[in-house]
Order: sequence, then C-alpha cells, then structure tokens
Amino acid sequence: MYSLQNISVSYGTTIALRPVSMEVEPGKTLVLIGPSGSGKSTLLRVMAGLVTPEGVLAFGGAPVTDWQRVRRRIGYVIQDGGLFPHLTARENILLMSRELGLDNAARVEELAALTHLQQDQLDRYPAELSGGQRQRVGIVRALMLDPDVLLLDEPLSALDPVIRAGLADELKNIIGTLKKTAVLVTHSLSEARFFSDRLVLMRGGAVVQEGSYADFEARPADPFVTEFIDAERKL
Amino acid sequence: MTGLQPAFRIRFALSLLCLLFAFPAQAQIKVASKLFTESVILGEIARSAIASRTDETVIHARELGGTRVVFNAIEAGEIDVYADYTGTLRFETLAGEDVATDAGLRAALAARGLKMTASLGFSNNYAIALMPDLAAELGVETISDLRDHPNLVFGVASEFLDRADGWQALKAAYDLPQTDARGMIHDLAYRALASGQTDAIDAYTTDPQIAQYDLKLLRDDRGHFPTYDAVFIYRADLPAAAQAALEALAGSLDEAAMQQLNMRAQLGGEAEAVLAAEIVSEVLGETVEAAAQKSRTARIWQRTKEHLVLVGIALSAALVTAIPLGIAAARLPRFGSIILGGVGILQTIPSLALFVVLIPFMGIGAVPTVFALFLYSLLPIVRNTHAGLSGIAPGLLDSADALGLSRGARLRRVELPLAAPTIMAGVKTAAVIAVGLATLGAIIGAGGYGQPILTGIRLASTPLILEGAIPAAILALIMQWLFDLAERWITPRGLRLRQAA
Repeated sequence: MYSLQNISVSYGTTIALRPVSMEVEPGKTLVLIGPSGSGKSTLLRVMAGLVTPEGVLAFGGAPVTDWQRVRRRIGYVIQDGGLFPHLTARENILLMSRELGLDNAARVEELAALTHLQQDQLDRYPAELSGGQRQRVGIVRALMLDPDVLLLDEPLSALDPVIRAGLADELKNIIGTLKKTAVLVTHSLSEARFFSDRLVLMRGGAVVQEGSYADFEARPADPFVTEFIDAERKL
Repeated sequence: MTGLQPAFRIRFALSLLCLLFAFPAQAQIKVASKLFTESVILGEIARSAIASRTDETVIHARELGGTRVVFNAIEAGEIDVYADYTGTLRFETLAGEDVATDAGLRAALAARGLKMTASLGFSNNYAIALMPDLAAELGVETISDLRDHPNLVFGVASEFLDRADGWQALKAAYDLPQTDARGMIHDLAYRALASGQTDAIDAYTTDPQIAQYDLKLLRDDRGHFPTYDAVFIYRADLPAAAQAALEALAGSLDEAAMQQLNMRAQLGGEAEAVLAAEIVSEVLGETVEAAAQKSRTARIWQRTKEHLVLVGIALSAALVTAIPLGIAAARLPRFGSIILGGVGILQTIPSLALFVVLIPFMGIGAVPTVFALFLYSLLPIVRNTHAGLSGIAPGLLDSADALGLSRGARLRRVELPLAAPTIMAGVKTAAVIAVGLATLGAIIGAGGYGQPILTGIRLASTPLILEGAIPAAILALIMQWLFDLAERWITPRGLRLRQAA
C-alpha cells in the first residue's frame, strides 16, 4: 500500500527521521514502536501527508503528487481522538462528508453499531464523552469515507487499563472485519504484539529492527532491543 | 495567491471605509469657534446674524479647537466663518508674511480664498493687571512704573511666557527688573492673583475677571503690545447676503460690551445663543429667536446618538479589516510580525496628535474621528485574532488536514469557531476603548459625550463635565456587558462545556 524509499525528515539542523525504506502491505497491520522521540510518530505523519519528507513516497503503487486526494483514502486517528470540541460527535463524524456534499447519515449508524456507540452519545459534545467513547468517535470519523488505510497514533494511550483492553479487542476486530491496511504507533510492546507480528522498532529517528516479537527475543539486532523488551517485562 | 488574498481584503475593507465616509456633504454654512468663551459668543453672533439675513442652514461647530485647528479648517473649506484677532493673525497664524498693514493682511487672506471684516469694534489686547489695592499702595499707573518694584512676582499664561513677543519682549521693551515669572493656565492666573500668590498677571482686556476683581490695568506707555482687533474671518465664496450680514456687525461691540457678554456667559451661566440673539436684534434690527435650550435628557440622548455613530462605524470598519489581518498574521508568520508591529505602532500615536494630524487630509468632525477610532480599534482585534488562531492545539489542525479539509474549509469550520471567543474578547476591548476615546472627538467638532466635557472645562462647570463623563462611563459599562453576552452567545456550546469541565 505504501512504499517508502529513503524517506527522511529534518527541521533545520534537527533530524527527526533518518533515511528509512519500507513497504506496507495491503490488508496487513504494521506497528511502529519505540520510546518517545524515536521518530515513530513523525514517520506516521509522513504517511498521513502532514509532513513533507525527503525521498520518494508511493501510495497505492504511484508516487504521491496530490495529497488532497490521497488523504481521503486514509483515516487518521490520534491519541484521545483529536475531536473538534465545538462540534458534537455526529458533526465531527460528518464534517468531511458535508464538505463534500455526501449524504452519509446511514453510514454513521452502521459504523456506530460496529463500534458500540449509542445514539444519544452521537449527539453529545466531546467534553461530555468518556475517553473510550471519544476514541470510538475518532475511529468512526476516520472510517467515514471508507479509506484504504487506517493510521493510528497511540490510539489507546490515554485510556485506563480495562477500557484500553476492551477497545484494543474492538479495534483489532474492526480492522479485520473491514479488511483495512493499518499502521499503528505505540510505545507499548504488549499492545504492539497484540495487534501484529510485523513490528518496526525505532530509536533516535532510525529503524533498529524489523520483525516479529519472537524475532526481537531470539535474534536482537542491537543491545537496545533486549533492553527495550526487558524494560517492559519488569513493569 | 495566498500572499495576494489578504492584500485584496485590506483593499476591499478600505474601499468600504471610504464609502462610509463619502456621505454627501449637505449645503450649509458652518461657523466655528475656538476653545474660549468669547470665541463661542462671537460664533453664536455670526451664526444668528447669517441665519437672520439668509435662507441658508447655518450651524455652529462650538469649541472646534485651538487657533491652528480652526485656521486649517477654514483654509480647507471645512468651515466658513470664525472670529479671530488681527494680532493673532499677524504674529502667529501668518507670522513671517507681509502682514504689517491691514491691506497686507487682507492680501495674505485673499491668497487663501479668505476675507476679513472690519473690526467688530473692540480689541482684546494683552495688558498687565494688578489687584486694585496693591496698585494704589505702590502708586503704579503705567508699565514703566513697575521698574521701581523689582520684587513683584508675575503669574502669566504659559503661552505668554514662551512666545517671542511675550514676557521676554516685554521685559526688554521696558527694562523690567523682575525675574520671578511663573507660567500657568490663564483662568487660574486670576485666582492666584486674587489670593495674593502673585502680584501681576497678563490679562486680556475683555476678560470678565477684570471687572469681577476690579483690576487695575497698567497703561502701555511705550506702546509695546500690538492691537488684537476682533474680526470675522470668512470664506470668499460665502453667499453675498451672508457676507453682508457679517460686515454689518463691524463696529457694533465695544470693549465694555464684550466684557459684559463674557461676564454674563462665564460668571452668570447665561447661554451664548441667548446673548447672541440680543446683540443681533439690537445691531441688525432682526428679531432672532434664540434656539430654545434643549432639556438635559434631550441633550444626552442627542449626544448618545452621536457617540454611538462614531463608535459603531469605527468598530464595524475595524472588524472587517482586523479579522482578515489577524488571519493573515497567523497564516504567514513573517508578514504577521510586520502586521502586529504595524498596528502596535498605530496604538502608540498620542490620540490628540492623531486627531490634529488627520485634519489636513480628512477635515474636521466625524470623519477623522471615526478614522482615528478605527485605527485604535485595530490592535486589540488583530492581536486577539492572531492569538486565537495560533493557540489552537496542533493535533486538531492535524486532524483537520488529515480529514482532507481544504485550507478554507479548515479556517471556516474549525479554526474560526475555535478562535471565536478570543476574537470576541478583542472586539470587546476595542469597543470599550473606543467609547472612551470618542470623547476626544469633540475637540475637532465630532460632538458626542466629549462636547459637554469641553464646555464644562471652559466654564469651570462640574455639572456640565459630569453630563458628559457619566454617560460615557455608563456606555462603556453597557458595551462591556453587551459584548460579554455576545461572547457567550458566539462561543460554541461544546467549548463552554470544556471550560466548565
């Protein structure tokens, strides 16, 4: 779905992302993992067209020339949903459809059922919803235009453990049911291995190792990989 | 294109502004007066004389401003008539030109499209005055006699102290030995003299205080002071009947009569219009009804309307200009610092100076006042628009972009609604400031609540000052309250919930 060749990002003299090349296969879930400042969110923002990188980025087999069009084939979800506080859940969800003049009212019901959102919750403002409900609304909003790809930036990090576990199940289920390609960013190894067996571990703006959790354990490419695994085990 | 768009909007807003200003000028004759009582009385006399002899609508812009403001206004054709003094024209307004003779003075005025009547019959000259008992005790009759009393303390008008033909020239002309001369406001100089804090002052010979305190005026035995004959200055294109009415007033008022009028207005509180009606009926034989004094409620209502028009137009124009400027400043950071710096500098121009500087370009009255208020309203609105847009969480902008919203849709659907409360707070600040600043408009003839404040200062009347100051304060509070409501109304419900949470 995505093909990245020597993609890098720098702001002035600060290097946010060192040259990286990778493929994101259609229908699969890829997880970007690493500590804060590792460049994982920057890489996701490149895929969402929010940051213009050096290098060649292809989407759906062709280099991207018009982001405005490509963005409609991508759903992007950030921590806590990124909902517009002045709009109700339903208005948030329908914002882009209305802008395009599409009548997507029926699709809202469909997706709300899929994400277990109640009718009355749809007519509330973000400030009146719980963290888990906000994240569900964010996911529905991202799915409205039926994108090919879901980009998820720490979608579960702001939630408490029980809700987080429940929503993780649902999210994995949704991605599977709708057969979406997904790229998920997280700093949690357990979350990463729950979603996929294709992990990309990053550190300091560069990729350290690519592979499954089992690969990381058995054949660490760098002492940092072991350190990262041990750190999570300890807690 | 994005660089052009704000510029286009600015142009659009400015042309809108010009439209607002392009009210068709009504055909009417406009008399004006300077900031002191005698000038206002003479203005009323001119107004009522012209009104009695012509069918024209004649209005009087009272207390329009100082010598410079009024002369600029008549040169620019903003006003048609005002009263002045030959000495002032010779030594101040037209100083340096060949105006020593009356013919020279008339020629210099004619070159500006102006004419001058013959003397109205009195001159308002400089004189040196003492309290009567002190003068008797010292036995002084002439200014020369002062040489024998070197320890006398002078209290003179600040202007007299500074002017080349003032205190220094007087000292030189008479070899006066006194060294203690203090500058102060003219009206206060009389009080200092009466209370014995000073021994001698510079008086104007028609001041009512001369009679009030029975002051001794010393004879100018060396003929030092020039003559300040009172005359009307008027535009040469004034209708012939109006010119004739003014010329008919020449020679009609002697010094004692003028002093009496000043006394009745300044110390007796009689309306200038009533005094003027008396003089015009006497001199021209026309029956003139002095316009009935409006009730206080009617006056305040009238001024409230004037004040609201000034503030309303200025604020609306500022809104349509400042919000696009604030958006441009937030969008283009480099351009933004220029815009914010620019409107910031505008704010630092002293308001009195700005009003006067605008006169040559915009004349007097409501137009320059509205323009000045407009300029002062820009900063709070531009700054708050910029701050409101810059303060939006980056994650929300990312979400908007990732959804595929265009820049315009993002601005309309997301950024402006989120920034609305902050923008509104800026508008509120601008409105409250404008209500206060608009009172200054009265000094260039814009009316409003500043008018009674100005008159009150001139007549030393606290009730009159309060008649302007209290409504201005109340209007500012009402503005504050209304915009608080508007702010709540314009803040999207979802944002109010967030603030409560």
